[in-house]
Amino acid sequence: MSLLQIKNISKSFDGLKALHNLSFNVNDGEIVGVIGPNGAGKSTLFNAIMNHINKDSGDIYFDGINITKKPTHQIAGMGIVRTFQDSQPLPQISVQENLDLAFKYQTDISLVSVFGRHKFLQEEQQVHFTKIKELLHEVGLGSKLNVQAQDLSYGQGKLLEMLKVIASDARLILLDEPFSGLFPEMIKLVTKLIYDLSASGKTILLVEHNMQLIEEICDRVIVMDAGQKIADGDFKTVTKQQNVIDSYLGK
Amino acid sequence: MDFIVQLAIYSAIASIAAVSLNYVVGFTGIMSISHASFYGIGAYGTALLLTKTGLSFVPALLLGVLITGLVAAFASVPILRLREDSLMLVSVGFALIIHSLMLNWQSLTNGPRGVKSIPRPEIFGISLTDKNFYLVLCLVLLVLTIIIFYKITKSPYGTVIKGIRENEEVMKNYGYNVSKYKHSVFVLGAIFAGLAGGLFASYIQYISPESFILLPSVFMLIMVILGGMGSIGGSIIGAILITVIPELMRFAGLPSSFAAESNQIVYGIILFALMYWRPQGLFGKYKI
Amino acid sequence: MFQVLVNGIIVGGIYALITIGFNLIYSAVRFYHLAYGAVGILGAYLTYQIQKFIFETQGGGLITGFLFGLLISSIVTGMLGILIWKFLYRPLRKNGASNVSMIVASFGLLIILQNLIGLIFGQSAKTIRLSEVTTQGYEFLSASITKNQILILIVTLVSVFVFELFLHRTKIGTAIRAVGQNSQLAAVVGVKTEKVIYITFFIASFLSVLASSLIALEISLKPTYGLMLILKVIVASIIGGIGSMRGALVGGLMLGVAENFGAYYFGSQWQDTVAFGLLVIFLLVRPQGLFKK
Repeated sequence: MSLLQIKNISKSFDGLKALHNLSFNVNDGEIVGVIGPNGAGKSTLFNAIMNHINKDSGDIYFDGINITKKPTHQIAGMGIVRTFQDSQPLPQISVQENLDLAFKYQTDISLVSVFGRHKFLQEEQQVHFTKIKELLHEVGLGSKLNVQAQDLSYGQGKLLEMLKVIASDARLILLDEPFSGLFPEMIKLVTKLIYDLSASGKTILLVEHNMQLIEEICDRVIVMDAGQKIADGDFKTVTKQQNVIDSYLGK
Repeated sequence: MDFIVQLAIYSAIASIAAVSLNYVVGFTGIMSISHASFYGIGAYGTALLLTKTGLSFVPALLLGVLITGLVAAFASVPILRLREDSLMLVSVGFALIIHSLMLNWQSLTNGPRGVKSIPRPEIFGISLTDKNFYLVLCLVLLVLTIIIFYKITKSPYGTVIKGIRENEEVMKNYGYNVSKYKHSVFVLGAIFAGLAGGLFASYIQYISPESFILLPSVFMLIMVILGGMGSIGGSIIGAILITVIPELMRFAGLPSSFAAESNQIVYGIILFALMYWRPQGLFGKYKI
Repeated sequence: MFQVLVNGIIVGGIYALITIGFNLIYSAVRFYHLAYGAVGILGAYLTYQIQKFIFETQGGGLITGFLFGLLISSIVTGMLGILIWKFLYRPLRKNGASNVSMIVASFGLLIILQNLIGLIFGQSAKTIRLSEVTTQGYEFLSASITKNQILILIVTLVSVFVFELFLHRTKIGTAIRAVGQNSQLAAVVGVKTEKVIYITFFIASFLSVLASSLIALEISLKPTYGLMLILKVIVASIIGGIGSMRGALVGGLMLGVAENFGAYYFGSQWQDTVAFGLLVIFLLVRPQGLFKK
């Protein structure tokens, strides 16, 4: 059974079909790319998965459980994390605090925790956090734990967002254009982080415009156009299909 | 000297209200204008309990605060469904409805005539009718308030609500039940506003709907905005300034017929100037 | 009962008039100009003063005085509206103020204006009269309606009609609608956004003076009405859909009627509660209002 099953979802905005009878599956451990011309509905897809928007019809299953109508935070709690286009960390809090918030064990903090000696991380989480700290140093943010996130550069912000994704330890990761606006060195770093995630067993769904990176990173590619799936397979095959070429050239 | 003690008491009470409002508005980003209503509900609750039942001060105050919390829990359901502008508006609507209830639900609140002869506290047999003792009581409660909110804001819970202020959608995507957090922040803030209201009622010994119209909510908001969003110390300074300015103006010799209007004009100017030059307030860390 | 409806429509018409102006400004600048209520009331006070001056010292009639006062105060208030935008709101916007900041600043302005009015004109209620005998009226289908009220009804209808024509049939009106829909696109197409905003503020201020003067005619005039009025305007805007002219009309009328029915069934002291109860209900059930932009 696939980790993520999208079954015939449709969504219209004011008569405009953003998603049209869309179906596909994502299997455990895969890195699947989602490509398509602008306006194809790729970001809407992510919004639909997280139930940020209601679907007009269709169902979405995660790990066999129907998540079509669950509240966003519950879906996230089940083990899915997503980034937004031009993701930047929460600006007026520090890098450390941004990371703290992303750690997967922390989502049910109650007022009681204020008076206990509760810190953000228990024992096993400390191990996880040490790993993240190492990564922080690797990407050059090690000295910036107490810096306000809005004082980071755009590229550093995106790196922090990737680290938050790693910290969340989610099984399914939805990345919305993680490479946009980055310099080549940063691109290499983010690519490495994605590979590391995949190596540790995570499943990744990746929206991106950079075809080179898609070809390099993804096991499989889904092509969308006008809210529909027009191709599904490995990069080389799919990009030779006539309908795919047509859609990119604007018919 | 007596006068200064009175001013100090007002400042302390205002500070409790301001710090709690800062928690809701400045720290968590919930733009609520209904805080003075909870202040009023706390005042009325405590006053009515003290005058109509035989309860002594401490239980009456606690019960009054509890009632405020319950009303807040109810009100939070519609109010928190909305964002930003709409939330401000619906909280104003709520405030006006509460004021109308105070005025018109005569069987409960005595209407425009208000509640008279509210007794000063008697705690463990010690009568606190003396102003100086009352000041001590207020200061003790103020310190308690500060400690509680300080601890909250420095805790992991505090980080979560800061995150909610920054971006609710992102927080949901990280698995946080944002709605639940906002409700608990709103209610806790209201509880302390109710506490301040109860203290006010017992000190001044007479309350009427007049004291709790829309403008007090605005004053509280001004205190918080002036002092600085997200800064506990700033809220206290804001509270002191806003409490003291009218008195200073009286000293400056303005005839009392102009006093009320001139005060408010000054407040209006302060609000506008703040938005222009320093939207994060004097000591604030977060912009609106 | 029909009487209640009639009263409701009269008041609702006035609400509608001023809500149209408010929505006009919102659609042009995209924030809540809370001080709008006070500006209108200020204009009404001017109308009152001028009418008083003409009637008492110049030997003019009450009606002449009223019309003259209305004319002058509309122009003066219209200019004030433009000044407020140019020297107060626009700099704030340029400074990067958020929407919430704008509301707060606008509220500060409201407080300043309201209290200035109180200082200058005093707190006692003023009324504008159009004849020495005030409540002469007519019977009409089991409801009585005063001459004043007929006048208000006519003025409201004519104003809305003229305004609709202006908005849809003139070049300037079209420009205003364009800026309201999409100011960037409008600028690209060559519409002078700044000029349009000036005109918008002028017209809106004029509408608010008209409406407020009618209120002075039908009810009375007090410095605190600025706040009350803008709150009612906001309720009407939320009901009708913020930014929509049609919505302003419907919202205003609904509000007036609902208030009067509320007063009839629950007692007049609950009038405001009904209004704000309506606000809460709409914000919960249909926050976008009845009509879209």
